[in-house]
Amino acid sequence: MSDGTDAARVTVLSEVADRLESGLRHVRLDWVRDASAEIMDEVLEQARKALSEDPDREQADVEALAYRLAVEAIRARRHDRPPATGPQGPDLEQNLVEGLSRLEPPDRHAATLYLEGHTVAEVAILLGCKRSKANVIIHRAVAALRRHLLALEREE
Amino acid sequence: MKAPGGIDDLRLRLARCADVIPQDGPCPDPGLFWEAQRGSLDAVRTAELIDHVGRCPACGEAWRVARGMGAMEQRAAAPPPTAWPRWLIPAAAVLVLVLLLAGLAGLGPGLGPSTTEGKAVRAGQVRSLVAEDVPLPRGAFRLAWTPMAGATGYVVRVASAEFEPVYTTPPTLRTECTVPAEALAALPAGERVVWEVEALDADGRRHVSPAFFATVE
Repeated sequence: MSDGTDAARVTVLSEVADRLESGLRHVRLDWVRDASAEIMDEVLEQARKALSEDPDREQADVEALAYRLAVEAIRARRHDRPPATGPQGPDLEQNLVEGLSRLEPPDRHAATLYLEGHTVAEVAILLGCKRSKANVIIHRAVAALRRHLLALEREE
Repeated sequence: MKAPGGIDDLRLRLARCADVIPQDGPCPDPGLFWEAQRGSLDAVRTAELIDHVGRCPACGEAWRVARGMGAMEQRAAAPPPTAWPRWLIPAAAVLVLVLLLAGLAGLGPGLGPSTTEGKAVRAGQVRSLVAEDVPLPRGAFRLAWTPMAGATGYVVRVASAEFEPVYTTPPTLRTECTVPAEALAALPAGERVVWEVEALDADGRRHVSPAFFATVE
C-alpha cells in the first residue's frame, strides 16, 4: 500500500473520529460520555479494518459505518445498565413524551427535532419549509409542550 | 442554561427519556436516520421517522448521534431523492389548490394554531397590533392585540428567538401589556422575540393565538 493511501486513510479516520466524538457528545447522557473513549476505540478499530479491506471506500461511507457501529455500541451497553431514573423522577420524562405525542404534525415534528438539538434552520430543511415558518411552528409547539407540562405539574 | 422548562432543560429531559422509558419496537433501522438527515429519503419517509423519534427515546438517541456526527452536512453532496416526473408538478399544484380551498372551507387541518393541546382551541380572531420589524424600546415594550369575543382574561407569553421563556403576564382583562425592562435585559439589541396570547373564555377553555413577533430596540 502506498504512503499516499496510508496518509489518506489516516486523514479519513481522523475526521471520522472527530465526528464520532461530536456524535457521542450529542447523546447528552452521562454514562455514554463516560463510555465514549471505549466506544470510540471499538468503532474506530472496525472502521480501520473496513478501510484496510477497501482503501477506496468513500469517507461518507466510513462515516455512515461508524455511525451505525456507534449506535450499536451504545445500545449494547444500555442492556448492562441498571434501570435509571431521571433527575426529577421518571414521571417528568414520561410527561414530556406524552406531551409530544399530543401535538399534531407539523408541531410534533418541529418540537421533536428542535428538542433533539437541531437548529431552526435545520428544522426548516427537515420539514421542507421556510425558516420563518419553522420559527413559528417551533414556538407554537414548545409553548404548547410547556403548557402541558405545567398543567400536569399543577395536578400533581 | 438548565432553567426548569428552558430549552436546555427540555432537551436534557428528552435525552434522559431513553434511560427511563423502554424501547418500544419495532424500530426502524438506525441507518435510516442517517439517510433522512443526509437528505436521501423522501419527505414522507422522513416525516415517518421523525414521528417515530418523538415516540421512541432510544431512537431519539440514535437520531442525535447522526445529528452530532454531521449527517446533515452531507446534504449538499448527497444525490437528491428521486426526481419527480414533469407531469407531477402541475398535478401537485392542482392538488395544493384543492387542499387550500378545502382548508379555507374548514375541511382541512392546515398549519394553523394547534388544536390538540388539552382544551386549547383556535383563537383566530386575536391579532397582533404590534409592527414586527419596528424595534420597541426596552423601557416601553408594549404588546397589544385585538380582543376575542367572550374572553374573560388573557395571558401573554414572550419567548426569545431561541424559544427560552422571557416573560409571562399574570391573567389580565386588558388587551395590552408591557414587558418589564428587566425581563428583556439579557436580550441583545435587534433580537426578535416571539409572543402569543392565550385567551380564556367563560367556560374556562383556552384559545391560543398564532405566534407573533416583536423586535427589541
